[in-house]
Amino acid sequence: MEPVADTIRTIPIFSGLSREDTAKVLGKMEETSFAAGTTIFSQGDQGDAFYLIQSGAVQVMLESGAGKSEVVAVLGAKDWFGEMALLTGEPRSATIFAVKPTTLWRLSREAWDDLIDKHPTWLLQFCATLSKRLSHLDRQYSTGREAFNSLAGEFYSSRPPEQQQFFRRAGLLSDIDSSTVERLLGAAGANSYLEDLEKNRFRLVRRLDATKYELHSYFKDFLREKLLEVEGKEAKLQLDRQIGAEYAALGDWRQAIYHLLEAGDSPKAAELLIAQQEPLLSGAVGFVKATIDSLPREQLYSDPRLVHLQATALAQLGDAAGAVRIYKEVLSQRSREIAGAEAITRHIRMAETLARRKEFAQALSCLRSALDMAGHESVISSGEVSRLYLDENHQAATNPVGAAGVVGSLFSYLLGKYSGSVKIGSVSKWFGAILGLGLWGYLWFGKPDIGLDDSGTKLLGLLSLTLIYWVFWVLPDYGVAFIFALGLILTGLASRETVLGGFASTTWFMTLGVLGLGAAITGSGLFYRLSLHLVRFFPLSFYWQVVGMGLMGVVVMALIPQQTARTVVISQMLVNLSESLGYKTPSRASTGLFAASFLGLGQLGFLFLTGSTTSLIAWGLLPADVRSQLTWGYWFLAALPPTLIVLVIVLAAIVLIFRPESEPKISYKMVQTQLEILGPLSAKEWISLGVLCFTVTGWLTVSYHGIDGAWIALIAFCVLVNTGVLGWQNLKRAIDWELLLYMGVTLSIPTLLTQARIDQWLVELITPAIEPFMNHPAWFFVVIALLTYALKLFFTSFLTVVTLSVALVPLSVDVGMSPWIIAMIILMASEVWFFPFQVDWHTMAYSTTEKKGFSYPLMCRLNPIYALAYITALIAAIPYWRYLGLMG
Amino acid sequence: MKFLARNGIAMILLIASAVVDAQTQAPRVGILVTEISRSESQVIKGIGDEIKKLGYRVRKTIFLETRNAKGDRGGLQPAAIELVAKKVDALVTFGTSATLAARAATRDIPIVFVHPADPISLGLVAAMEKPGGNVTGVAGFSEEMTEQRLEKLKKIISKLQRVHVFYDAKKESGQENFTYVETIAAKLGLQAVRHGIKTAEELKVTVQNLKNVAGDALFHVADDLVEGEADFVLETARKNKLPTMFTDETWSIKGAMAAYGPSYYEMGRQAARLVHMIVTGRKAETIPIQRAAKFDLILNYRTANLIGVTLNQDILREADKVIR
Repeated sequence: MEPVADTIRTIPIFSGLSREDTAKVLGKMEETSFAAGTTIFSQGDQGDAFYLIQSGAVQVMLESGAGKSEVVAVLGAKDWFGEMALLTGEPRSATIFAVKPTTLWRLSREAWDDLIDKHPTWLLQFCATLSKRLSHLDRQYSTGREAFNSLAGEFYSSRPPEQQQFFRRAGLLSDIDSSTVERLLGAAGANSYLEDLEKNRFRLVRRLDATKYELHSYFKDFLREKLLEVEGKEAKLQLDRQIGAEYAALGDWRQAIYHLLEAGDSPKAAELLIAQQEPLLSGAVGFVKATIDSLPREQLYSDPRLVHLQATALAQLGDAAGAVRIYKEVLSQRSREIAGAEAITRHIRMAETLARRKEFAQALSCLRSALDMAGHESVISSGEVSRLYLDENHQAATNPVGAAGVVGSLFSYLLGKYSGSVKIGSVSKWFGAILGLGLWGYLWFGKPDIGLDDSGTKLLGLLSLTLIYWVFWVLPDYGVAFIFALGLILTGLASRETVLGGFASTTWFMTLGVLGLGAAITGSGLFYRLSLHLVRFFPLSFYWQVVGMGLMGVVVMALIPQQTARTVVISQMLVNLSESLGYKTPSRASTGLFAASFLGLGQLGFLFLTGSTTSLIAWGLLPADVRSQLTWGYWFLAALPPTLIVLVIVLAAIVLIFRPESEPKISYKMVQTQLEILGPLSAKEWISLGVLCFTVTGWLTVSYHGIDGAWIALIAFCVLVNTGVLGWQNLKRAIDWELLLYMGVTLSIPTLLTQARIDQWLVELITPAIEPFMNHPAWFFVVIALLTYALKLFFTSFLTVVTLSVALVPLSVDVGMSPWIIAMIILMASEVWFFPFQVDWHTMAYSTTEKKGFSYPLMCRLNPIYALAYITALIAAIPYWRYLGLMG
Repeated sequence: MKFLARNGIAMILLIASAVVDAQTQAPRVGILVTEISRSESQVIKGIGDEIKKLGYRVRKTIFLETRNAKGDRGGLQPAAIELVAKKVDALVTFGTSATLAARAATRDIPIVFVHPADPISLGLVAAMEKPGGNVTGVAGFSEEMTEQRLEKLKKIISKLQRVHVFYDAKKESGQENFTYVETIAAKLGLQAVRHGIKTAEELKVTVQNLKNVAGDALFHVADDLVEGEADFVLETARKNKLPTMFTDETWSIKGAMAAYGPSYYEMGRQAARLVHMIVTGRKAETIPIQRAAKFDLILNYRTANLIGVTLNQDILREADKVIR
């Protein structure tokens, strides 16, 4: 055994003392022994001595005011305690008790004071050692830890195996709730084990409240090590996964997320975090931030929802600059894929200016939009719009919004599920693939006598296959279109000139030109500026802004046929506007503003020939002589009255249904600031504006110069490309090439049907069902509109328009009206939607605004009004269309 | 109980056999067409509607079996033979080829033709009153409507003076048709501009150069060569803003500004009445050929708009159909 003097000299506080001084100090110390469990002193006692541990171990325990206690340390041989009270004169800051038989050297206050008086250098030595001790906490920690572990080991090995297993697993839990622990760990008798543990003299657990316990953190570490040692790493991961799932089922999101992260399942943890962001942000914003910080960086960069969440958490924690930083960091990471996207760059620039002005809320709003746009950009450029559609659809289906729309949400949920399965579920894809092939095989090889000749039957077979593949999204739309085209060419059913004639048609070039013009107007910022000016033009009251939004949509849609593009650009501005008016987002009022803007952004796309891509395809599917009659201006004139009727009905309904909950705060600040930041028109904007004026004038004066509208659009396109307004990047990204490829083939369908006499066959097939209504235009309109509403439940708008135009336009001769009227009924009715999954541009707006813009259940209230408004407008237009000679 | 069961079964059998008897006794009518284009479908529709009006119930008290050669004239003969083998009670045919195929297939089963032109000159029947053999039918005699067509055209184009007339110069009937038009035109104070052509190419070149030849409208007379290139003729006429008057609805749908000709729907109804006579005991040879009862004026409003012709309210009211 080591001599006492040598032992003392190895204790750091004495190590600098001479042998003599050591001897003197030792002389003032008295040796005291304590049995295990004895309290040496209690928290709050007057500090009367300093202690050195000769052998054994003590626990340092802090007691809170509520009678709760927490073990903060375990000290072993050569450790000391009690110095603080002597140095500061304060009462004891912790309770110390022996956890095993312990021998201490006690230095009384008098002896301490005397020692310092006589040996002031020792105080210096003491302080130096104290500071070293602070800087060598790890070593101290491990010394204490060793002592603790040996005690924990004693306890653990004294337990039967089933208890050992329980404790090993309980070590994974942050705290233990006696009411749920059995379910979480699947262990019967857990409560008796805990009571047993609580009674143990060595305080390995503390009670938090009537049902909750917390294991000592060292004990937890000890148990976790045991778990790894006994059951292995895989079992631990599995246990964490299982506990995470159980916590999720119990609705304890924090614990669920924590355990999922522990199980290494960060994607699932992130999903849960996003799904439960609302309660977590309101109660555990620090946890949200810490959790996202702990996620892999790549995961954060690839999921804008996490970025938004992190930024929101930072903003809530008062670190708005940090929130701006995180957006900029992510956007710089994605800079390669969004290169050339002017709208995004503009938003980032705007945010930078706003951040410099310390207007962080607006800066964040701009960055949020920029990131969302970047997300949509990459989805669109990768041709995976369906992915976005599914994501949003899935979210809409799994997160019914608000109690107010329980019924609507339930419908949305069910139909969301249904549509998801019909549109992209792998089972339905296979079903569609087999059904399509089956029908094609039957018509191609079986040659049933359905009243068509051989080639007509075969063509119908190929067409059926194509249509089914489109409906079930078996392959990309344009891919299916090319299979159709190749099928016709290679089997000699039609000449390549006919099949691919669509690519050389004026409709195709018109669409290309208009898409280019739309991209330039959107990309140059002209569209955004125009929207801001329109908002500024109308008084900032709910009613005026509803009118303003309605008209804004109508004005901008004339030249931007991409509903999605115009919706994405405008959506964030609408959220800002709602916030400027002091409305909650989403709320009844914000939904009203969105509903008003959606009138023009989407619902009234039929007003202009170039108002939507569906209008363009419907125009392309009309007979050539009808197309040559329908100039851009004529289309507008013919469609104007029914559009105005819809506009008035829907705006009135919006004002009634979405009356704001509160009076708006009048402020143009947001609009003003954004306009200031935009500054004067840029060169690109000037060019876009000039080209825009040229194009509209050209279209309106076709009857004077005789140049087809398509070539005017192409001239505009040419100017935009050659002046650099439409750069190559922009051209690749902003123009919907998928649509153009699809359209090129689709446009040949009417000619093919006529050549194979399928158009007449279709008329024969459909006429008996429609015949009773043929002499009653109003009823005829209603029937076609209802048929379109029904088909739209299963088909996309585009496919609805293509299918019904091909099938119903040939009826125009028998019903004595222009094919354009039939196309217009289909176009108008195809804009009606009852469930969110029916409109992709809506979904895009919903996601762009992080579901803040509007509430789907509220928005859905407007749908029956739309349905009725369209039918009313169609019937009311009859006298006007008669006047124009479009019907008899 | 046994009594009831036995009698019940007997009753069911009786009713069933009565139904079967009624079906086997129900007349069967075969309809033979070269293809189903607009004209044929109108005829078939007319037959169906009139049959119902006459009190028949299709598939119950009368059976209509349509055979469509799907554009293959060679397919008409086997189709006709098949219908004859089925011992139909009457055969309805549309057009010369179908009527000839039916006549070749049977000399016994009555044939009711629907023909837009003159069946006597084509040799389908001997005379109007006593057609002879097993053939009777409805004929349009559309060429006889030349005067009315020119009158209608004059109504539309008030300043009409000269009309272009195209015909196949290789055929004697073409020459005859032109002479006929020329005579009628003169009667109405108009001049027919002769365009005797021999090939499709010559036709195309001539039509393209029409703007250099004085003429106010293009007047169509039935001619295979011209009809074979109708799409080109109509498109070129539209481009040259030249009004066109054709012989039936089909051409107007394709883009002719106006058409005046027999109503195929009404001819179908007339044919149905002839079928009714036959199945109720009349012999075909005793049924005189009927003339088409109704002629339709079809106007293509958008073609008129496109070529700058304003259709006045009188002519619009007079029109049976306006293509908008």
